[in-house]
Amino acid sequence: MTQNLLLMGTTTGLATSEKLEQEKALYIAWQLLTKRGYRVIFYTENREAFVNLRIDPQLLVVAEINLHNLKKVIQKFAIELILPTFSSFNTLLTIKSFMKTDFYQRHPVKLINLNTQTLKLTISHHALNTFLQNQGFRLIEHQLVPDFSAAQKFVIKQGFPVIIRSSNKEIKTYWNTISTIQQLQDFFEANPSNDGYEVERSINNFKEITMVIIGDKFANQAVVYSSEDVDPIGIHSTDSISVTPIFSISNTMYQRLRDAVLRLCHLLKIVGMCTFHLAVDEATNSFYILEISPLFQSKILPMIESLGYPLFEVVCEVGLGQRLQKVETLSGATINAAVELTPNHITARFPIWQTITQKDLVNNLGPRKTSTGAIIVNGNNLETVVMKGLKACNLQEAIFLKHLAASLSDEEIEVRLFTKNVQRIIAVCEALDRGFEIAEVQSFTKYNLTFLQTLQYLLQLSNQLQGQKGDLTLLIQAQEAGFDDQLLAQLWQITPQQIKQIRQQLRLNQIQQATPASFDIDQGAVLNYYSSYLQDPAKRPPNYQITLANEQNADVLSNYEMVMLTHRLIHHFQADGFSVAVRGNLLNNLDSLNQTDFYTDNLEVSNGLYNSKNILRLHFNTQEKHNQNYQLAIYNLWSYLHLWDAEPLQEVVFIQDQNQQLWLASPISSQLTQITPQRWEFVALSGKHQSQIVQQATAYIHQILPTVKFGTLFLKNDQVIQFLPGFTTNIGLTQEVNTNFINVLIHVLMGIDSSFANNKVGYFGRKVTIYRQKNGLYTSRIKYLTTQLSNASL
Amino acid sequence: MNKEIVDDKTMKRTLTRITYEIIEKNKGNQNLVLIGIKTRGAFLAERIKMRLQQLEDIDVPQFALDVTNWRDDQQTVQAGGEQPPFSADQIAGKHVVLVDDVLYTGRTIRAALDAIMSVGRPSKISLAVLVDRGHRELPIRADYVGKNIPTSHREAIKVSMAEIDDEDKIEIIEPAAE
Amino acid sequence: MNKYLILEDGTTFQGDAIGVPSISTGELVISNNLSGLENTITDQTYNDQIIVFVRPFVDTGGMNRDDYEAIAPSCKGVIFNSVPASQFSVQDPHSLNNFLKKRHIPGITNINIQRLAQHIKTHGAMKASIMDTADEHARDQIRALVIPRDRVKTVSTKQPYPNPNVGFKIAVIDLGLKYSILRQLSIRKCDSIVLPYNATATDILDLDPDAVVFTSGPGNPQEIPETLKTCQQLEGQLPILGIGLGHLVVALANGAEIYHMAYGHHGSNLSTVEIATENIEFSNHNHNYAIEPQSMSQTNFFITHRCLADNVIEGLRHRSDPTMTVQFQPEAAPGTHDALYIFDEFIEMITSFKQGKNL
Repeated sequence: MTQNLLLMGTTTGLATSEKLEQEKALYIAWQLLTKRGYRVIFYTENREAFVNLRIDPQLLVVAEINLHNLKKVIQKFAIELILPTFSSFNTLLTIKSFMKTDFYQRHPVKLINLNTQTLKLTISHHALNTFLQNQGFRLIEHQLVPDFSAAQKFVIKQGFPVIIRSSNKEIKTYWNTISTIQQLQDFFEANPSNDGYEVERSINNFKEITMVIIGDKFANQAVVYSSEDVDPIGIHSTDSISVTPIFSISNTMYQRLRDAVLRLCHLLKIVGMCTFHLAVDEATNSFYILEISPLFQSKILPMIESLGYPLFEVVCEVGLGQRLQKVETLSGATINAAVELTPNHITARFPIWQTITQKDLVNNLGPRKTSTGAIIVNGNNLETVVMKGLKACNLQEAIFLKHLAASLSDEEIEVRLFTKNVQRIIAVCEALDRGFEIAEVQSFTKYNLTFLQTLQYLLQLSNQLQGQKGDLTLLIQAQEAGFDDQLLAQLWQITPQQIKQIRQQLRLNQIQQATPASFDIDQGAVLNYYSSYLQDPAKRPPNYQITLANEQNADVLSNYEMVMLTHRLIHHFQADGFSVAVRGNLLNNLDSLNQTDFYTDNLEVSNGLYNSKNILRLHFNTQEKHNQNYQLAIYNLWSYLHLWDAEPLQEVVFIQDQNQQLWLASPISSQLTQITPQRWEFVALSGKHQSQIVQQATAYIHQILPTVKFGTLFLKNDQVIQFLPGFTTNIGLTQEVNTNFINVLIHVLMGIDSSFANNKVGYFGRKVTIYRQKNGLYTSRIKYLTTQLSNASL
Repeated sequence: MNKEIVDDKTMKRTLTRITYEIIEKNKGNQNLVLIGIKTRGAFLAERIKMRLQQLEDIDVPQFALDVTNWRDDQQTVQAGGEQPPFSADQIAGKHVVLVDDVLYTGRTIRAALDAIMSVGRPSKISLAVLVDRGHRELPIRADYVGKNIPTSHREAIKVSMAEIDDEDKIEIIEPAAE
Repeated sequence: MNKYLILEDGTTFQGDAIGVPSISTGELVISNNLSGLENTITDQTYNDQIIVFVRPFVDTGGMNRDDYEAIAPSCKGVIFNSVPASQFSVQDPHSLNNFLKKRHIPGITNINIQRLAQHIKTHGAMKASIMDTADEHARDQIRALVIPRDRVKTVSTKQPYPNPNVGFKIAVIDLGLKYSILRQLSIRKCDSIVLPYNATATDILDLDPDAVVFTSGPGNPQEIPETLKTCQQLEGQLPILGIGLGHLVVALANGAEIYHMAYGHHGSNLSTVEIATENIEFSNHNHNYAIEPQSMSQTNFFITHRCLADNVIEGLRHRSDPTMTVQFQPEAAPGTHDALYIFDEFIEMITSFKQGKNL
């Protein structure tokens, strides 16, 4: 009999690029569970989910994730199994309360990949410490203190720095780094608490290691991932550059860590995946367990995908009771998922911050997470990975060409080395460039030594290149270390084409390599490609009929919308049987189906991180369209901010074919309100066509834009006031409400006739609350709104 | 106070070793019959049977024996005691491996031997135990011993098995201080 | 400086030199170990072979003194994906480059490892040369290469020597011993004596040991008939543990047959399954030969371990004698500790054998 399985989706709130990873993971889970014959009910707060691509609307529940709704869903759909999927604090709390209810006793719903103990340890730091202590693990010196004077006593014993947070059993609180008595005093004044405070010795000279274990219910486990943070440990792991595989600890220490985490997994009876954060102190050869997450940590997914491991497919399979050695992937291959990956390449995650310009990036880093996104880069050596990362973060120019910090005195540089902020890396490079000892830079910054050595080597190379123009040995050395044609061209003041010619004469080619390691998984791996310069014969890439290229933008919302839009396009192209390639660092392969080739880097284009719009470059080489290029842009809110005053605007997306046949999306009425100098609210509501708007828009397009294929019109008081040659971040609403949007768009772009009927379902709205700090960084929080026209879901 | 002395991994491994030794000492394995003493001995016998199946692809007959009716410390025969689940044919001329969790005084084993002999006549009976804690009161010795755990009379050994106790472990239980 | 790796079939790879600037020829093996560079390079099982490291780069800590498996490594060369600049350091005595120079090992880095690994996977293991030029000369060198048949003789100890402790007396037959085997025996308080590969059964029995270990080592076990004979004579008289090459020796001595694998197992990323329990464990594999499964019926062994990836036999136990063997390297080094219990099982086997004798 078909079992009813509840797949728990994401919660809305802070928009980050991890949300995207979660949505991708959910889509994989949904596909796999559906394929296994379950009736999957998807319960989410997010209205713009990947799963929406294919799910039967009858099985989709969009509602706030809370105890009340959870019970209702379970009852309505006769749920037997729940897959909670994420370590989202709210979801875990909801499940915890649910398990305490009488309802749970009466309806014995089975939880997949989670047990009471792991749930408790994830929610409570205190419970975790007690557990670890009972199991004989060393803990970092910590104490629960009631007040300032007790905290002071702790500090006298342990010395500064310490980290502290108010203790609260129900709400997640954040750690703060404290280095002086004054800071401690300030903290206590700013954070009154009835439950006391947790204070802990700061361990900023340790190395932070992340390990991911996958286990089945037969107590088989494998360490599928390990990474190391390059930044010192006091900085939140998500705000730090992380590199996989582990590269700077010895085999002996690594095996000790492995033994410890496997033992813990065993004790916790982990089924599915479990992430461990550990701190390694090489001076005393000891290590500490910092955190255990028995569910999925989204920041790790793209990294593991870059290793070729079909992680989420395996997680679901073992959750359903399969043995690790016999897991069936989405591709249909039965694989041995009990492998400890030995990648041929390095993958790194570079955090990025949501800001309009890089200039604004003066954000202090600490135990509290501040980044909203990350860029994943792959390369065959650490030098290349660092170069690609710096390029993706738009730092290459500042470091290698402009030497932004060159005007500072040595003393000023030293001060900057001590200041933990996003821009510190520029000061570090300047210091290394000036000949500061690596040991000195390391003692100031606590950066990973290998990372600093790599930076030093790259700076030396860059200086030599500038001094020795035309030195071919140096050129080979530099390109093997990840200097791309563009940067070399700037250093030698010639064109990238010239560099390309030179290196091709030297038999130095840009080689595309697949991410899965040669000996780990034969079939069922997730394929992505990365490029590197090697003295090796170039391979001709296949002739793709359609190529999509895109680079990540600092704005999380436009990234999110772009990924959703692009995947819808890819989905259609695949369904129509085209051969498709995707390039750039925003998009990557999700699953082992490998229907499309993904190239994770695009060395020919420059970085678009701080552009005002996110551009998708489409290239068609099909029977209908030879060598046709299009640009689909999604504009960041900041770029058309000036359009608003107090009045709401109407946004109308249009598509027009060569015969001037016009398709108009349901209008979105949007309103931007500034609440405080730092806070904005951006409300967008989709609604029915109004004849006034349709007439105005049609007339405007026919008269002024007769050859434009698509775009967005802004209307105020039924008058068109602005045309945007692309889309706004509300394109997600348009896609969800106008179900044939993508279909019509593709047909027009490809020059194929299409039905221009407009199908509309479930009008809804979205409120984005933007909080912009003085330093230019901002956060966006999302909340979905139901309109009077919305379908009631529960 | 309970002190865990054998964890689940070690217990698993110990059973595997006992299985290896059973194979080593029974060239051919043709005539084997496993009889586990209820309750935990029966689960142990089942696990040994599984391992033999995996390793040698043989299906060894296996029975769970309730020895209540044969115990010398029972004044009267209790109503609940079961009769042996095997017939004379099933054990006649066979090599019976009797399996129990803890070997202590030896009285349980004697009861089991009586129960088996009351049904039929195996060619040989050997004994496999997970724990031998000493303090024998009868001339009985195990052929396959998982762990020798010397104990005092005051202590008790508690074997937990996943089949009924949620997890595999062996603990020493010391009586609370008086 | 450019260097070339030229395979038997003419396929050529270009990269940059590291280590001693000499040329060499040997059998190519792919190592899938993520860490423990020292253990791998100094493992005598790689005697006369060129080791290809598939991992992205080597650790930057320099060569670490704690992880040597032999004082004088005898591999023919090392091939890397990339080596960080710091490991080319002239000043640092522990840099990889200095280590390779001192040990007379040539190497190449910045090679397209993925293409190389795929090539070996598709076409099987082959011979290769590390060369300064990519010309016909290299091919001649490879053609002229005779795979040596006396590798064990080269790497085995010439004289017996003790590894004293206070427990069971173990005769360790050195077929290309890794120090980690001795370390594991020491941890279990075994009083070991290391004997050359050609020690006779009489030599060994004269020492009256409690058990015998046949260690791992390089090459084909058929090349050491004297060891096979010794093993045959000892079978059943003493508990025997065979590791790696030792496993093949014991199996051959008992009637099994072996075959040369297409590209061997080298690394800790392979999982083995313990047949009795279906438990998965990860251990360091390093072997080019394996037991022919059909030949198992000619022996009195049962299979205790198999490799999950390709079902290769990885562990055996005798049906009546106290003999156990594993094809993988339970001592790890480098790699995972999952299989260390094999040594505990061996000690238990010795104990139980002694008890049996005393009854």
